[in-house]
Amino acid sequence: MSPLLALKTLIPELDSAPAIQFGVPEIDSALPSNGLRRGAIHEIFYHDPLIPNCVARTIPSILAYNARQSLLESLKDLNWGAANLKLKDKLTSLSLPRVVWIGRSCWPAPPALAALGVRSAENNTRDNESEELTTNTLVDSLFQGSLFIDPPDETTTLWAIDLALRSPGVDLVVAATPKISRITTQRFSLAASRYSTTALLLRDYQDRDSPSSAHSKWVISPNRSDNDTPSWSVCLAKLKGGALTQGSEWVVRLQDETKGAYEICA
Amino acid sequence: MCLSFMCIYFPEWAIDVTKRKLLLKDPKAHPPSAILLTHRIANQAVVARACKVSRGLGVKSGMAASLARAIAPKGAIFEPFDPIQDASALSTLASWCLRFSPIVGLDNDLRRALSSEKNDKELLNLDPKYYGITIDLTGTERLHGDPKKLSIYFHSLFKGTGRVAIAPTIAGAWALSRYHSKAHCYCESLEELKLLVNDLPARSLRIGPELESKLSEAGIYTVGDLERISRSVLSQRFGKPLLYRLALLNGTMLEPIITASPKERFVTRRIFEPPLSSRKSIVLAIERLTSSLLDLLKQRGLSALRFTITVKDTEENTTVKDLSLASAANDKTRITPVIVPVIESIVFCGEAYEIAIEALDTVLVSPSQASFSGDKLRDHEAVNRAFNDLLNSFSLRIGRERILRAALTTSYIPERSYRYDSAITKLNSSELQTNEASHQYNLENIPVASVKERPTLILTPPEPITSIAMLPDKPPSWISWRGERLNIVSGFGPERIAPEWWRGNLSEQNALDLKLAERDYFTLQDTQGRWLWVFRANLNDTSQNWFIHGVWT
Repeated sequence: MSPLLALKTLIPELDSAPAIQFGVPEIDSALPSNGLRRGAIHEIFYHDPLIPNCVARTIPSILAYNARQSLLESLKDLNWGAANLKLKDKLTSLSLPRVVWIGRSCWPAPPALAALGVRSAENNTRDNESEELTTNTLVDSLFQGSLFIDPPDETTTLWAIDLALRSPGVDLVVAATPKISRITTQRFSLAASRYSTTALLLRDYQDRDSPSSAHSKWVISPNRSDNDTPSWSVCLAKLKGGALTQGSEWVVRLQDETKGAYEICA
Repeated sequence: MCLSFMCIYFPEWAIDVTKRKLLLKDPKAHPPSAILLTHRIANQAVVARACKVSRGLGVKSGMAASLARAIAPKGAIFEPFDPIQDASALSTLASWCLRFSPIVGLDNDLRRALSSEKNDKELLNLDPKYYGITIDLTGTERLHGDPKKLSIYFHSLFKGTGRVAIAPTIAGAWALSRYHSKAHCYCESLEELKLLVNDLPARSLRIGPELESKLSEAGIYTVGDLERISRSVLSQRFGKPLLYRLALLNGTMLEPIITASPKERFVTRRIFEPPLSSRKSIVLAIERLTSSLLDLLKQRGLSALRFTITVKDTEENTTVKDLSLASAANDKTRITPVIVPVIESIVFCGEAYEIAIEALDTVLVSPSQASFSGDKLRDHEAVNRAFNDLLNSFSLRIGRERILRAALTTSYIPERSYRYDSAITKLNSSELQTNEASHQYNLENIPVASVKERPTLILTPPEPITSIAMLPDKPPSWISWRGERLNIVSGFGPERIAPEWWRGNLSEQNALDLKLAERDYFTLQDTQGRWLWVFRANLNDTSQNWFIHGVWT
């Protein structure tokens, strides 16, 4: 039972887990499930000819943050009875759900990862002073609930991804994946589907055309912006079992600091 | 009741421990002609302990190892000096001696040095005279019989490596064991003790070298000389510590013994006759032994963080497998999936005749009130246990040093502003909550920049680049990185990060060290939309002072 399934068992109201959103209405609304589907694998390719073998880090970090945040927001919005208050405290203090980053080449720099939570805490505190304590408890969890695995070789990397996907203690797996066959991606998909875990496989751009059973494929590349914030071009290359309602390419950039540095917008 | 204490002193304890270690390593090897133990002082190897043979040839403690090599006999072995290991071995021996008396302790000075925070330094400087054991024999006469015979028995028990003395005071036994001409002696009464210690040097009272030199300046060399001087004169001239030492010797004051506490071991062991030949039966035996060990732990309300499996086969091979867990466990359903791969990895060379499993790092299990908490909380704890099991599996396959958590540190220097710690630490509780709590980082006092200010990819080490800046404090116009020229379209900065002067005297450090240079960071965007984090280091060497430190990917 994954943390998500466990939460569903605990809280009947949480019958459908929210999808992992980009936080960009234009992208999320274009996807059939209003975001990245949970219980599936998604492939993200980063295209920068100057830095070969480099994977995307910023957008997967934001997706991991949003994945965690959406579940915890669901918990926060629920009508907690007096008997479940202790359970609520425990859930929040234990930094659920947990994110496992597999492969050193995909680890986001800790200062940037920590900044995701801290900046939003300041903003949330500004918005609602009464929620300060709870929000602070929630926001630190991505940094503290992240586990970093450094496999020594490619075989071990694949083993670690498989194991993490099958673990009931993990919600999201972000992995720098070596060249893999379609059968391997199928095995990962089945594991993700069965154990309700989600995987973001960060892959080499050269492998973008290799057959895969991933639910979606994304290509991210740097995009020149007129503002003073980094910007990327996000292209949806494949989506299984659903047609796009709008276009398949967007430009996103880090949101202005005043609105929350953890968000991206089109 | 007449008090009786035994002191056992091992003049060459460190050498004996090393000799035994070498023997265990290779039982068939010839004993070395001499053993010398060395340690490093200011990057120089120095002799810490020398065996009797080497000392006879002129080797002394504190002598340079290179010089000792020239003096020592041919075939002498030089081993590193490990005082903590030596003291721990003596502590184990003291625990073993508990079978002779319920009150057994290490020499007080040794115990104090061992339990101090900087025990390695204190033990290094401790006089070897303090490597001894004290046994309180008071009231054990009916058990052991004649004390004189007991002292002879102990001397033979340690094969002549230990000097034994029994006296009515600890100070008396200590002095006799260290400085009396006989390797084993016994004195029944205080009067007899006075006669025996009369000719012993004053340092046998455990006084410091300063006081000893003061006494020798006054012409006092032996305990007898001290006894002949009135106490008031001694107090006025040499202070009260000397009177305290004399009072301990004469029995007018009692000396405490801190009893060594035996470490309880949780081991299940079985010897097989005839030996087990098939792998299947060996695996079955290990599983059964594990099961009985876990039952034993459960009965005692304990769980363990580490297990060791030892298999001895008929070809005299001993296989030891270590099994470290992320959190303490005593549940078979949790241990089995972890222990099975370990068992499979054991290579059996012959027939196994002895298998032992030991639980190490045991912790008390806090009982959970499942009925009070409700089923929901229990389900949630099952998820936590599953996460711990995942850590165990990772740890076994790729090692605990590759299972990490990130932590921020109080530094503005980018590469020092974070660190990775092992996610699997020694816990004091079986609950994951403690595991999580041990990684709760207080972010309040740590400088945290926004995502815009710190890139998600930090290059370690920073890569050198070539750049041209039109103005000194403005972003560069173009940079050359990895052989490609990148034209800069926008950028902002500088953000100055000064070196951390409190980490050392900067003026004495190498001025070319990048870590110690003042940096001006710029955030740049090139024509491709790539955002780069570069800095100019104010190094003395002006040929190369631009570096790229990160990229927003």
